[in-house]
Amino acid sequence: MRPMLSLIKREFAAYFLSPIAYVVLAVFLLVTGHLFFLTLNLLTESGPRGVEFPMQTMLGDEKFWLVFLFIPPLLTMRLFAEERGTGTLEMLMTAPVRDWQVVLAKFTACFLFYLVLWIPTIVYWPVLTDFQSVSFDWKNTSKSIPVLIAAGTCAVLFLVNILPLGAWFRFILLIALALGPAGVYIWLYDLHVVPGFVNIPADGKAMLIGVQVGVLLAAFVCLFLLPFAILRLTGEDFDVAVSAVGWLQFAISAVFVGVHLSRTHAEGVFQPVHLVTGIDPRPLAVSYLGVFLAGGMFLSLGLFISSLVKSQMVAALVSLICSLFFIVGGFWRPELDPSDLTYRVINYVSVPLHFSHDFTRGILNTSHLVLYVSLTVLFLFLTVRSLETRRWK
Amino acid sequence: MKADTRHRMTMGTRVRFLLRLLGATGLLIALAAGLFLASSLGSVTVDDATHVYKNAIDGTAGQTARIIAFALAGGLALIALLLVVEMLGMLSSGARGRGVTGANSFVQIVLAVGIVAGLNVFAFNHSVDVDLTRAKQFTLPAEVVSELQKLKSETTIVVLQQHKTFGQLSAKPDRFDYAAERKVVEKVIDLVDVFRRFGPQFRVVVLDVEEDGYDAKLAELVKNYKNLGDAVKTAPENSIFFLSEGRVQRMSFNEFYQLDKSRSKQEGNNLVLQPQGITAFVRNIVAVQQKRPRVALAVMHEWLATEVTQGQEQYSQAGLRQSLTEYGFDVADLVLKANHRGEDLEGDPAALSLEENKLKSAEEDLQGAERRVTSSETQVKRLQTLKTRAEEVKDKPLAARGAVYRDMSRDVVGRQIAGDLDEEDEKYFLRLLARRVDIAERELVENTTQRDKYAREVATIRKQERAIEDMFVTDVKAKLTRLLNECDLLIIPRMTIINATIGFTLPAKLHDMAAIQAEVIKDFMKQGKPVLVCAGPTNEPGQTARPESPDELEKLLLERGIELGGQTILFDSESSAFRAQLAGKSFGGAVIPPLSFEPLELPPGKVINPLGAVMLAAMHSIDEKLKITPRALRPVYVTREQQNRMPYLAEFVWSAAESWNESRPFFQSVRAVGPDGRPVRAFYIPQFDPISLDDTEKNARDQERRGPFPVGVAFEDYTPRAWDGDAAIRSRSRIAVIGQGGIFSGKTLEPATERLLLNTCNWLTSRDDRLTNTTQPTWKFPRVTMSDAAKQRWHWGTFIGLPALFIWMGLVVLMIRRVR
Repeated sequence: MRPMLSLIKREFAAYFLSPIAYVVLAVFLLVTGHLFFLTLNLLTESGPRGVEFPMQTMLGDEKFWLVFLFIPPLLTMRLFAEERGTGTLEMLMTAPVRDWQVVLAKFTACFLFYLVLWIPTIVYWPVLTDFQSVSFDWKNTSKSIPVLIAAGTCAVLFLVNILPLGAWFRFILLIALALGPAGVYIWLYDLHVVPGFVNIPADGKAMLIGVQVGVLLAAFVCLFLLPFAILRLTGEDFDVAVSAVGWLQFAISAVFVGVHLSRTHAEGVFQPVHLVTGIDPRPLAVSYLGVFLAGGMFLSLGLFISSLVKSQMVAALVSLICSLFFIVGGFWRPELDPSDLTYRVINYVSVPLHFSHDFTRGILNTSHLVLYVSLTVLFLFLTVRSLETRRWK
Repeated sequence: MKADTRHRMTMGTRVRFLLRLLGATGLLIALAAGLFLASSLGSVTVDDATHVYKNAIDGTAGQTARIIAFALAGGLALIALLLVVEMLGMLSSGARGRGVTGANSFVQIVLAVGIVAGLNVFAFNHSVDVDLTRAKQFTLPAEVVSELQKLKSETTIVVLQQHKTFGQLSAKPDRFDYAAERKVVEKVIDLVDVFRRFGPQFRVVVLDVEEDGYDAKLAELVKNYKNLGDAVKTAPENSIFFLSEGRVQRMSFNEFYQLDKSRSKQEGNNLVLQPQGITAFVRNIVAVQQKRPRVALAVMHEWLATEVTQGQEQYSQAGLRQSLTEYGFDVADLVLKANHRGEDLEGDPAALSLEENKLKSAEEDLQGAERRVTSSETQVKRLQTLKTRAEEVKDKPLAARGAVYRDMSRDVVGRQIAGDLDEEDEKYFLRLLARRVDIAERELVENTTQRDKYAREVATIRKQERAIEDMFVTDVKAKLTRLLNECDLLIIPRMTIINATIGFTLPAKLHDMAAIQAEVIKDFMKQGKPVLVCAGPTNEPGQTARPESPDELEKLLLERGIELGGQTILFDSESSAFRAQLAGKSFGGAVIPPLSFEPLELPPGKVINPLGAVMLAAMHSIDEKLKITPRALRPVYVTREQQNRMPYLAEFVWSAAESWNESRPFFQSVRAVGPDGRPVRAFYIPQFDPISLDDTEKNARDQERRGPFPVGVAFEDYTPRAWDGDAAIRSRSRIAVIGQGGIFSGKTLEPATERLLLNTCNWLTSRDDRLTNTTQPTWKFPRVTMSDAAKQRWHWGTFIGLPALFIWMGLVVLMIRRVR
């Protein structure tokens, strides 16, 4: 894991050492700034004009996608092509690091830089949501305590996973983090020390505790020990297996926090954060999710192309042309019946249409998610295979 | 020196090079040919592409297209050949040592691509939209989803933009109307996108009358939906059409989203729309076959019916029929009086359906024509006889001929000729005789043609069983009951005073209803069916006393708690018009202020009348008063008991404040005594005379006073207990009364009057979902409030500031690197 982290660090830092990153950032912010200005005009309009979903003007606009088209190729063109061109790829290939780790590290680094591109756009949020106030309302209840425990566990797990700790020490910590918080929860639940927790009759208490402990141990075996054992048996190193289960544990905790929060929020029983906005902020959040996933797809495509060629310029051009396939459908708007198969196919692959129809209006369409995630995984897989080819050629 | 083996050209290398070259060339040819053929595509569909290709290959599209189609096929064949050879090459290399790894890798890639493709095909066919908006605005209510899932047939939704004023209520469209129009089109497309998740295929076509290619687009649609052409032609405003299985249903933009111009202006000129709910929209899709409510229009004279009689257009209700038909009603005429006689047009009670009335009129016309034919035939025969006699005596002496001509002179010249006739007189006489014969023969031909026409008309109507059946029923009550049973709403227009300033009226007695007819209407109401009465004032010119006691219908209304005032409401402008007329400055024209739908004050515990609220919403949609300006209104009151039973105000429309109620609403000459004691001619001019405080009629309902007066009531209540006797369950029915009989008369209705009619009829027939829904939260564009200075800061800060910050950072990094 450590070599991978080093690779990510190296690649990520490399972006900030080259002028191209700043040029990309500046151009990107100029374009989004202009689109933000257009949106701002519509939001402060004094006539019967306006925009129902502000993100639609920002990301549903053709201008945005015309500029966006160039960003992933610019970010990915150098990743492998430069190494090939300068001959450092052989050195990397002979280093004690696996091909998939190299690919994943480079992808993670450029994806992180891609996220950095979007960070300054946080500045637009108060206007895009007509932010008014935010308040926190925390009460210790049967709904809030589990979230607190899970969120705390989640944070600690993240630190454990990223800090340069020894494999055995990390392994022990992970076991403690798997069993400890759940144990605390059982203790709180059964002893009803917090208001709102179920008051269990004394005669059934022992049985209940038994069942809970049983479920906890079963979950521990299934979600921790079993994956760990499988990884070890398939030949993975001890530290890799520990890292894998560590991240799995983190993902499970994060999902638990997310699901619990959304459920309790929807039921109105637990709303620790009161965000008062004049404009629904959810389409904004969904748009950002879409932008990240779509960005992942384009970056992985660029990474794959970069792994195939020596010249950075060729890599950028080819990936730009390939990216066009996912963009032009949005510009080409023939008089098509939306129920027609041709339109549906164009709509399926056209990223700008996904944004103008769905993400920017707060709709999460599963087919878009499947397209982005599956193609990201496929291109990363193809990149790994492409690197492997060099070995057996 | 040994040659570099990497560049050795073996036979295999050459063949592979050749194949790759061919493959690349094939790709180029296929692309070029494909682009050429694609230019002939009407639409981008697989079917169209196949069709174009077939046409090209069989030569239908010309020789060039045929060559290109073959080139496309050839190009594709070369690509296929290349792929096959490459595949074989990969497999053969896979069998060799180093190739095993490659083949393994290849299989992995194929599998991965296959899995990803499969996953995406599945996602393509089974996608789910998760609506994450706060208001769940892309989520349909469960009942709507279940309705849509029941649909099996394809539905095409045509959005027609005519750029006519939103709802036609205001004279000229403004920016709000246009903005609303654009938004509604967007909303329709969005909604249909949501619909596509369920049931059958939904298609949206946007037709813009100002767009190029509008006619072609419409013609394409009309091919499949023949009724659409007429529906589009007659559509009065921006409309949405629902087409399914050859049927067409229309709804206006207003019925989907109603513009609230008043609130739009109040909210800083933002666009404010009042959504009418998805249910109303879905109803139109689901109910393309929905039964149209049948409206009976009961009038006392056929001139007052919905068929236009030439020269009598102003009395007809043709506009009412047109509007109701366009908005989903069927209209049937009922004539309640026959054999009209005298100045008051009194007649016998009857119940004639439209068909029967037509048959009766046609038979009367036929009889008249036959009489005229007989008379013409007699005349022709008579003149022919005279002509024969004149020819018989032509060889006799002039004196003898003169005697014969003198005998015939009454028939030919029209008077008795005295004295002798000379030859000139004879010539004149014979020419006149020939002319008379000619005219009589022509008249006979004309009358015969007309008789044949009427005979054909009668024969056609007689073919309708209904008309014949009705003719044999002589029991008015039974017949009226039968006719009304088929109807869902009864409208009784009683047009009386048309213009008081010029004394233009219809006799009030014309509308007197017989007791048996009122009995049937009572039974109609007892069934829970609604009635709309438009009753004009019953004052007559020359009348000084109050009108006579109410007729049977008015008594019926009284039993339901509705009192019709005995006076006519006149406006101040009419009072001025009377004076101008007297001074010879005018013919009696006056500008009438529009009706008001806003109560002066709501009584405690009461809310606004539901029909009034709908009309107010219509008023707000244009941000001005609805231009409904009927003259000579009659006050309509509700008894206190009735009003107390209502949760809302029973009155829904009022006359303008500048009015008064007048018992003698006509300008007339009166006899007076001059200063010298001699009778002189004087004039009575209607004007407001406040009643003195010690008058006995003070505080009476009909006391002369200033407006506004209630001129319309509408409510839903149980029928009176007295009507149902001991019946355990009393029926509820809706009723509306408007104090003007001719409010919906004329060939066409003004948009605002039409809106009043439609809203009243929709409310009466409980089609509440077609009324403006004011319960839904309004839609408007989100707005952010900020000062101009703040806006400038946001603009420059984000547009220049942020990029500049990162450029600065880049420069700093560059400088640091240079220093190092």
